[in-house]
Amino acid sequence: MSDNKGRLRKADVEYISSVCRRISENINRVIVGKAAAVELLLVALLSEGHVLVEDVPGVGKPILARAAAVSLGCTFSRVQCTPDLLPSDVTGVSVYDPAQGEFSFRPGPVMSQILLADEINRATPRTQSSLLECMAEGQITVDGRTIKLPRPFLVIATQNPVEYEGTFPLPEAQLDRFFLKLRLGYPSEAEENTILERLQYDHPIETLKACTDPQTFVDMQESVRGIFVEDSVRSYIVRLTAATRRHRDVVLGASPRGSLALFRGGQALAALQGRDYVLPDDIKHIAVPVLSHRLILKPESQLRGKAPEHVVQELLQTTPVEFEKFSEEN
Amino acid sequence: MGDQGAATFSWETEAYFSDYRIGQERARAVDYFIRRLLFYAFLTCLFDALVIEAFSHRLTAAANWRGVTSFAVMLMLSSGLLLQACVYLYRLHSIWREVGISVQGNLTKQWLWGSLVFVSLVIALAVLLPSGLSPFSFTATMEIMSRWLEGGFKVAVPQQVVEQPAFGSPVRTPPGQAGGVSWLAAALYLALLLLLTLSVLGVILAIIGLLITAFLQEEWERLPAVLRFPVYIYLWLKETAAQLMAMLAAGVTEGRKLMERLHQAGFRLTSAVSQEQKASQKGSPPSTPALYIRHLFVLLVKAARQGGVSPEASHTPLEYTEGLARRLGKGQEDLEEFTEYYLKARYSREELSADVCSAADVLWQRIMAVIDAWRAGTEEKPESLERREDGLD
Repeated sequence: MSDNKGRLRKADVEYISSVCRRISENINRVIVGKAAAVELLLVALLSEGHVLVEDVPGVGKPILARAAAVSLGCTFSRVQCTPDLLPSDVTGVSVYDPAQGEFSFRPGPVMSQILLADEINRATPRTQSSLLECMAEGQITVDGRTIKLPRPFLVIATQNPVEYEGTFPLPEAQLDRFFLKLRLGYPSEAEENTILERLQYDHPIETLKACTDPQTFVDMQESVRGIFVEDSVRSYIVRLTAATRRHRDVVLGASPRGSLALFRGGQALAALQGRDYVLPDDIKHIAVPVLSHRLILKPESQLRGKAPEHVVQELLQTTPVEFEKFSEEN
Repeated sequence: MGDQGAATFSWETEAYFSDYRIGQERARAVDYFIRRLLFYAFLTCLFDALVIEAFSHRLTAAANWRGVTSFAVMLMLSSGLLLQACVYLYRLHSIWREVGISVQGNLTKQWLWGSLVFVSLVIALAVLLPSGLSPFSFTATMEIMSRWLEGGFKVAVPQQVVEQPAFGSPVRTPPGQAGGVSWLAAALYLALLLLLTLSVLGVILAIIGLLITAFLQEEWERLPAVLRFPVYIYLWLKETAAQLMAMLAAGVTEGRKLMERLHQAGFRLTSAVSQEQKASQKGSPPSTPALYIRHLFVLLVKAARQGGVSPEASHTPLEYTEGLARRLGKGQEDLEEFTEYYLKARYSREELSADVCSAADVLWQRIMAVIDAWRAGTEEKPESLERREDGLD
């Protein structure tokens, strides 16, 4: 899609934008009134990032993942995480075949293109960590054999924010591997009315059609990296991430992976909106979902009711953008 | 829990986190200022009494020591109230920002003026009161109050001449020396001693709390209540220091903004510049279209700044122009379109054509006309419309 300098053509950006618009409309047929969440999901998809969806039960987290998989024409698997789930249940297992007299590998659900890890915090840390390699490297290692995962590969993990008994909170290393954290929230009364109307006879997901194919989407993912990010916008990303490490309420700020996520997310959002350049507004738009889950607050700040989202909002209001110098000599 | 417990030890912190409701801010503000006035009045009287009692021999050496002491009382009272007004403003802003209420630009100014008027009224009242009741005449006030309270008790005001200087007016004996140490002085000394003891004890406990948190990290919360007490003190001190630093930082920022506005106000007053002067301010326009559009945008921002709409450091160009469009009330489409050109010129690597440049120029002319009309409306200087005719061409 891009030319030999890695520079995107205007027509390519428009193509990416139109495909994403179709995907978004497709998903919005199933998930009512959550256009902003769908937009963020597409940002993560285009940036080859993984998504953590944290919300109360019954708001359509698994349906969102399934709708995304159908719209992209990707294979989809679901893992219901429980304390007795084993790493081999996720990655796959080698079983002895008596006829052949050798072990053969039976791939687990991770070998699909879109993997839904439902209630991920109910799995043990050992099982959670089995997802680490595939999320970061796009490959798994079983019995000393490394297997590449199909592309595009996206993990959508869900967790319930109100019920923590018998759960294993995700470690920081794993949280950092999620590109962004989404919250769907309850629908409004009008939206809930529409949901009931649409679901009266059958679920719209059953009639959903693919808008693109996986290979085209992989091409789109690669092309998005050619979106231009001006120096001042890049500096803004770095300043914003660095500010999270200096904030008085924060014990552990965002990692360089957080900066990279902001960078890639900005590119993806610009492409979604049909632009071949990133604005500081794009960075501001995605900063909260991209950065907030990477911050660990001090206990006293948590007790004061402060949330990582507040810290990121505060930083967005204080970190200078520096778009022009307005001296009197200008 | 620890932090919440620690917060209760601080009257300032308690006030900071108190449940101000936006709908009741007026009533609460009045109540708040009255309470603070009484608090500062008490504090200043206490310090005044302490100074008189403790350093009487030095005070009496100075001419007009009563007047000087009363003046100090007045200064302490007014500066304390002004300080409190600033703290209150900062707090209101913080709370409103927290709950997502947009604050009008001139609200700070209104509050500041309101506070100044309030302090002036208090001082005027104090001046107009009979000398016996005025807080400016401490000794007289104390005498009257003592009489009311003790049924005729008199504070030992300095009357007795202890030594006759070679020249000048005779020196009076300080209070306390004339008739021995009064019970009031003893009570004040006791209060001072108590304050000092509490301060020293607080610092020692805070150091112990620091050590506990350093060694036990977050495990300190498992300690029994008595052992947690030093940690509460330490956390309170830390929190108060952090708040003071934040207030100081906010004060510096606001001060800078105020200075900038004062500078702009001065600039507006002398803005009757000729067309040549204005053209020279613009300088020569840059050659490439992108730089030219950026230059136009900078000029636009400068014009809007003179009307009081400055970009915040954290504003993006889009946020700034959206805010400006709301303030202007018209010409929104032109501003949106011009901003699009600017964003392309600033953030993309697209080579802009001369047509884009001239289209941006036309938009800029129209927006500047709207800005000038708006500024003329706010400043009541219609002649500024004529002054904008020069353009860039």
